[in-house]
Amino acid sequence: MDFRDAAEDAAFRETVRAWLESEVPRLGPAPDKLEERVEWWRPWQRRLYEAGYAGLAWPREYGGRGASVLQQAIFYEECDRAGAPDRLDVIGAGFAGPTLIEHGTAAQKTRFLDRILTGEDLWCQLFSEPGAGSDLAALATRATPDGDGWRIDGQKVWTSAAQVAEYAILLARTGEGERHRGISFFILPMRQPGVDVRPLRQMLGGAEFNEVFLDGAHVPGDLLVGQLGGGWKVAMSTLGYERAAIATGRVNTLRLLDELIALVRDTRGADGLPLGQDAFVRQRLAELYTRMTLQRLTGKRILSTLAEGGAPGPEASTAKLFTTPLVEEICDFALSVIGIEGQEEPADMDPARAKWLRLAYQARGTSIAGGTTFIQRNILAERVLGMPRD
Amino acid sequence: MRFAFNEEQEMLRDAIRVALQREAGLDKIRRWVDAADLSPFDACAVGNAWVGIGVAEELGGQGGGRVEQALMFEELGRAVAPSGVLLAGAGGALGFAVRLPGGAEFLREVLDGEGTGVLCVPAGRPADEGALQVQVAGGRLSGVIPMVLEAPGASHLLVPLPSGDGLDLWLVPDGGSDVDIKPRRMIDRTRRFGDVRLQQAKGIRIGRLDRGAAQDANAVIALLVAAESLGLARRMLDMTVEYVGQRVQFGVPVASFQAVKHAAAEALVDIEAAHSGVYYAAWALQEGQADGVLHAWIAKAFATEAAVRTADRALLLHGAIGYTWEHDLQLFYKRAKLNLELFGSPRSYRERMAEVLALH
Repeated sequence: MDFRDAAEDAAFRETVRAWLESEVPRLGPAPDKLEERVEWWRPWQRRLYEAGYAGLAWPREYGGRGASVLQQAIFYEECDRAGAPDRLDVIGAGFAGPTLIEHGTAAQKTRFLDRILTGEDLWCQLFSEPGAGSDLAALATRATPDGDGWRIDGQKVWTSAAQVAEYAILLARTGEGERHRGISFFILPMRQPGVDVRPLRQMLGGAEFNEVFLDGAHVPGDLLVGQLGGGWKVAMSTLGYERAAIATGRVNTLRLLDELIALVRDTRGADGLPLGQDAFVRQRLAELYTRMTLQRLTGKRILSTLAEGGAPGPEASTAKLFTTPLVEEICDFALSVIGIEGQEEPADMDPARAKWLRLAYQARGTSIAGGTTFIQRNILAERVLGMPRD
Repeated sequence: MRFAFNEEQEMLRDAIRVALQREAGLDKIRRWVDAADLSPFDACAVGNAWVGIGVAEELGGQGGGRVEQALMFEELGRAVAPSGVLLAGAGGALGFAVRLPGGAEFLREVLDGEGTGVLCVPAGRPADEGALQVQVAGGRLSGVIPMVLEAPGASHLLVPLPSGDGLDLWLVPDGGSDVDIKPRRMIDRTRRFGDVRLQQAKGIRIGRLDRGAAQDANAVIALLVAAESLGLARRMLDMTVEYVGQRVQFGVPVASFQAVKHAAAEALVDIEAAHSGVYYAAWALQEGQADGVLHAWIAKAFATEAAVRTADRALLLHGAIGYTWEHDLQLFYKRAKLNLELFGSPRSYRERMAEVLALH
C-alpha cells in the first residue's frame, strides 16, 4: 500500500503540468454551441496528439504512448487542475477506439484509430432504441445484406454528439437468432443520406442528444466488427470501457466541492449571519466533503487494480452508484444555497450559477446512462453478491 | 501508487480470521456474554499477541503499522469480538503513551506484563478532548470521568488532562480507595464500561502531548473503530445474503426479489466506500502524511454510519428472526450502534471537518 506517485509517475506529472501551464492559457474561451465548440477543440486535440498526449494508454502500435493507466489518470488530473478543455472525444478515444483495438480488423485499425487521436473524426454510439433501453438485447434495428455490405433500417435514440460525429459504433440485428445471439457490431459512416439526426430537447431545454433515424443507410462490407452475429460480445467490451470511465470519474468532484465551499463563504443566511456558521450547513458540507473524498479514493483504488493488470474488483461496480447521487446532491445543495434565483432560466442566470443548474440536471442523466441505477444494483447483487436472478 | 495489501498483510488478516473463528466464535462470545465475563477473550488477545500488532518490535510488539492494526480491527469487527481491551489498551493508553519519549517503555514497566492500562476518557467524545471534569492538585486527581471503556478490570488508568492547548498524561493505579469504578450496563454486552470517580487519587505525571500529538493519537483510535465497523458491516452483509438466499417465500428465495437485491447492493456500495476511506487513512497515519488526521475523521464518520445503515438493512432483510435474542445479528447490530458514538460521533467529526474547511 503506497499512495505516492512512483518516481517515473511523479516525473511524468511534472512534465505534463509544465506543458499544460504553457499551453492552456493560449486557448480562447470555449463556445457554448457544440458545433462551434468542436471546431474550437480540434486544434487543441491536434496539439495533444503532436505532444504525445493523445491515446496515452493505447498501445504504441496504434499511435498511443503505451503509458500505464496510472499515467493516463495523472494526465486527466492535471488537465482538470489546469482547466484544460473538456474532452469531446470520449466515445471515440474512450470506448470505440479501445473496442476496435480489441476486436477490429487490421484494416479498420489503420483506417480509424489514428484519426480518433488527431481529433479529425468524432464518434457516437448507436446502441439504445425506443424499445431497447435497459434491455439492450431487445433492439430491433436490422442490417440486411445488400451486395457489398449491409442496408440498415431502424431507429436509435439518446445519441450524444450524433450531430457532430463522423462515425458511429452501431448495434443491429443480422440474424433470426434469439435476442443477443442475432446482433452484430458495425461501424457506420454518419454523413450519408440514409442517416437522419434529429435533436431531442432535454428537460432543461438544451439539445445535447438526438434521435437517429436509419432508413436504408449503408455500411460497407469491411466495417463489420467481430463475428457476424457476435456483436453482443463486442458491445460488452464497449460498455465495460464506458463503465470504467464513469467509475473513475468524468466529473471532478474535488473542484465541485471547492466551488461549493466558495459559494457558502460568499453567502449570508436569512438572519444576516454568514451561512458557513449555520450548524446544518456545516454538517451537510462536511458530509458531502466526506463522500467526495471517498469517491476519489475509490477511483484511485480502481486504477491501482487496473494498473496491476487485475480484473476490476467490487469497488468498480459500486463506483457509479456511489458517484451519481453524490454529484446530484452537491449540485442540489449549491442550488439550495442560491435559493429561488437558482431556478431561473439558465440562459438568464449568472454563468457560475447556471453551471450548478446544468450539472444538477446532467447528473440525473448520468444516473440513467450507461446502465441505470436500478440496473446497476441488479448487476451488483447478481454478479458480485451472487444473488439469484428473478 | 498502489492500493492493494501486500502478501504479508493478507497472511496476517487470514491468520487473525482463523484464530478468531477457532478461539472466539459466536458460540463462545454468547457464553462469555451470558456469564458477564469477557476475560477469556482478553487472554485470547494476549495469547495471539494481538495486543502487539501495530506496536514496534523494540517496544515488545509484533511490528506492523496502522494498516496492520486496521486489518486486525476489521477482523475483530467481522467476528464481533470483545475488542474493547485492544481499543482502550493497545490502541488507547499505549497509543497515547508512545508519543512521549520513553512513554511506552514506562507504561510497559509499570504494567509488568500483568496489568491492563486503559485510556481514561469519556468514551462518547473524541479522546483528544481528554478528561474534562478532573482537577489536579499536589499530584492528586479528583473528578468523575463517565463511561470509560474497559475501566472495570483495568489495573492502571492513563488520564489525559487538558492543559493549555495540549494534554498532560497522568497514570493512576487502580486498587486503592481513592479510585472508584462503577460498571455501567450497556445493551452491547460485548464491551465493558464504567464511570471512574477519582478522589484525591495519587497519580504520576508522565509527560505532555501537544495538540497535534493528541490529535494524532485520537485519529488512530477513530481509525480502529472505523475499521471495526467496516468488519461488522461486511459480516452483516454476508449473513444477510446467505439468509435471503435460503429463505423461501412465494415459492422462491427472497433473494430473487429486486427490492431485496437493491438493499443488499446499496449496503455493498456503502461498504466499499468505507473500505477506501479506512485504508487510505491507515496508510496516511502510518506515513505521517499531512492529511492523515482529517482522513481518520472521514473514515470514522462514514464507516460507523455505513455500518449502522447496513445493520438496519440486515435487520429488515432478516425479517422477524433478526429481531430475536436468539439470532446472532443482534450482537453485530448493537455493536454497530455503539461504535457510532464511541470516541466521537459522526456529527462531532463533521464539525471538526467544517472547521478545517474554513466555511466563513
